[in-house]
Amino acid sequence: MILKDLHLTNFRPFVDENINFHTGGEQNVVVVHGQNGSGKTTLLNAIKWVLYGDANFDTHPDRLVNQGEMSKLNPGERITVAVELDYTHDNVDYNLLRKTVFERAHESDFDGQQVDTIVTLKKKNGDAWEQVGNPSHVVEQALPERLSNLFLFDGEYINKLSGVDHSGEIQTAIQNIMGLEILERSKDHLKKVQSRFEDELKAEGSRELEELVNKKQDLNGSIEDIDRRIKEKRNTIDTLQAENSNIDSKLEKIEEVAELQEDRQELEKQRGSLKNQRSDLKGELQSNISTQGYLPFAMDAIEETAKEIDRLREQGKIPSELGNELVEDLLTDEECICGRPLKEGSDSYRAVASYKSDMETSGIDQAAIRYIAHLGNIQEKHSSFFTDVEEIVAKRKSLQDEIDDLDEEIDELSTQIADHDEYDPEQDESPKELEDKRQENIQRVGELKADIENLNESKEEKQESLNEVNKEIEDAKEERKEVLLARKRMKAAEEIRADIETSYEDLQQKVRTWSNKRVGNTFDGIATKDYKAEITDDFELKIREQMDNSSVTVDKSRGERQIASLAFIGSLVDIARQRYESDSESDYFKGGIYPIIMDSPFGSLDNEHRREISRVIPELADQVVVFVTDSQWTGPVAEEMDEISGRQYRLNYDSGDQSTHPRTTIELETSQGGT
Amino acid sequence: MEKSGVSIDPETLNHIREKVLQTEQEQLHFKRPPTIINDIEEIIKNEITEVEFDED
Amino acid sequence: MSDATVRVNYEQTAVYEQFVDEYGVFNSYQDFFVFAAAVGYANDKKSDPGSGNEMLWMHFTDKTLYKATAAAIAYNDMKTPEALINPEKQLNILAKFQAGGTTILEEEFGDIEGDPTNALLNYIQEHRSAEDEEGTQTVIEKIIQDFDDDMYTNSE
Repeated sequence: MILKDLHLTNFRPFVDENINFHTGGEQNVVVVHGQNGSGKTTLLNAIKWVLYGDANFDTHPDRLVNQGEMSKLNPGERITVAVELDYTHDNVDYNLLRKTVFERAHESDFDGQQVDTIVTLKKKNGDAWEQVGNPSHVVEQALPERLSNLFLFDGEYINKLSGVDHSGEIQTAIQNIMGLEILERSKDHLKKVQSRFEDELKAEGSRELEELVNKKQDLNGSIEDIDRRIKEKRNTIDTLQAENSNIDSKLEKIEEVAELQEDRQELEKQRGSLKNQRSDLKGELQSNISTQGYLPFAMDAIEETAKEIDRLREQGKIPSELGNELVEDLLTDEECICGRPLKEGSDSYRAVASYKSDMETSGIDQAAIRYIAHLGNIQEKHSSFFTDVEEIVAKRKSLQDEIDDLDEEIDELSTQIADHDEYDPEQDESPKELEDKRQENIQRVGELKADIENLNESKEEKQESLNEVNKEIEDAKEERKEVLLARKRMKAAEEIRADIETSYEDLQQKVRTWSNKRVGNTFDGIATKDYKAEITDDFELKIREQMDNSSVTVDKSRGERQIASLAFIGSLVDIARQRYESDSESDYFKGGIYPIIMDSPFGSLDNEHRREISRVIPELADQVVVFVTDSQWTGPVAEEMDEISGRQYRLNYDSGDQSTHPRTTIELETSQGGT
Repeated sequence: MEKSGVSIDPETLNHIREKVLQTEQEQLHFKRPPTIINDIEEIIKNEITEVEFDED
Repeated sequence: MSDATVRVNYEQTAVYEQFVDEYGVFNSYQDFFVFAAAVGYANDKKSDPGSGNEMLWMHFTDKTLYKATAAAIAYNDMKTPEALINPEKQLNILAKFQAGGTTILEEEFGDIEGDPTNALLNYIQEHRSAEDEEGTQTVIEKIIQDFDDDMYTNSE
């Protein structure tokens, strides 16, 4: 959907105003700025209202009618509130109009009573306009409501997306963009249908079968219960960690311990980095074992075989003549069997080239010689395996020593902090109390993590039992058709559900991977510091700071998180467009062309970050509309926006006086980037 | 692995799955009353009507 | 018989899950397969590989060292030069040693709770003998040299 003209009539502060979102040019951004309260958010809501009939106003949510116009009405008189939107979808022009008629009930009625709402949709056919039936369905196809939060959003949503503990938002966004909601719902529904067939099985089948199905249902119930408990514990861990983050902030503000706390933070950061390095080393070790660990065991065989082949050569049974194919290979690689370089024109090159002949040589010769050709490489890998491994083990030990040292230092600092038991009136607690709580939380988190591990083990066991029971149910010898049918149908429901589950997970991960890449690229393009953004397998948005040999997850980097969140939304728009333009296999995930409309994305960030956000904005979608508060409309933001905006509007808010009510007019300031 | 007692051919399963997803899609878009579970049950019942009787 | 069709059946016993799936000590089933085969060979232990999974010779196409190792192990087992050029036989023999090897690995590591990386490393290091290594190095270098000399003296 490409937005074009928006016309508002009597809608909140807009009496009769027009705004055009479509630039149609290279500068794809339309900027709307005005002071706080002038109606920027209302514009956003107007778009939602005309599209879906929803509007989420903070103040006076039911008051759509412009107050000034309302005040002119006598009780019993009516007024129409309307929003009209011209848009293009699939290369067809549409005109959408939503009108609500209000009647003023009495003198002090400023909301009005809703009398009627009409929604009309027309599409352009040649020169004429045609009426379109079922407008909400057609609009829904163009820009689904479930996605509206994604593409029409404000700073609060950005905050949410970028929040440290809000991986759920990202996952939901991805689910929405891919229409995964349908998959999600069908999973739930199929479960219930399966349940029905199970009940039928119990009712109609033999006693043994009934018992088995009961067992199956019990096990399923237990597994679900375990999942629930795991989720709860994870949530608790999140909460405790957030609490500790809070405690850290508080400790920083208490004079007596501020420095200790800062030191501790620094050490913890270092320790985190070292632990990452340790983890990386383990990965390296495993890689070595995986690719070369077999060599020490195979070396005897390799040596013996080489000797045998050499013996054959001595006996003249293997001519060390090279087959043509091998000659070609060596000449192309410019390297001989022993590793000696073969440069064209050199004697050695000529020598090898001379082996090309018309004679056929037997497969064994070739195989033998190829084998010898690999020996050098095998030899090298074998000896390097042990040296490499030893090096890694040594590094690992020294890292561990460093980590142990840091542990001690950090403990020491913690003790010192806890020694301060003077009450701090501002924080309403003493450092000791805060520190004690902090330690308690850390311990509790450890316990919870152990619990989760145990629960997972338990779940695995139950899953295995469940598999067995399922098999017994399938193998049960039953005779009545009703029972056999119920069993088959139950299985069908189960299998389809499992299939959808897999597709669902696969699709989610696919989108996550794609999105992650895009976010990473956008981030690299900005490159203020050594930050990298990532959406993990668990849909968490992580900002990592690049250190010397590794990277550490950074918590306090709000500006970066916001940029990453915007980049994430941009990536979804991209994915949706890709989907739309490709021949997608399924009808359900068609994708689409979506605009991005954002209300105050600059938040309370510093100039540098604001500048960066400004740079990111034009890349996010083909059509971008940005609402900016006047207070943010200065310095770097104005400069950057000026460069990229195809059109600029100003909302002029007139707060009115005793005789007139507030109203906002929309003024076109510049067009096509000119001043 | 031993052969299990109940087997459903993949084509039938695919067919049912597509029908289920289609129904879900319609239900979501048109906001029909929530008969979806009955609908899905019906789909499966209509597609699976035959069973092979166990031989001893 | 083309490379594409050469394959062997084998059973993925519990150690596969332990070393590949759960703890990621080995990157792939192929890597572990070869490792187990090498261990089986070193302990002269072969057995029936069973069934349930398939190992394709194709998987070793870009791993020339695996192919060389397979050739070496097959040759030592069959004692005929034909072993060098018959991928089907190589893979079958490899699978048998693999089965023997996994039994040994199961005995060594089956009971280990948690990450077996360190334990495995120790096991590999225990198998090492520094003197043997030097000896082998010398032998192999000499053989490469022999072939090289021949090649250049035989040319016109």
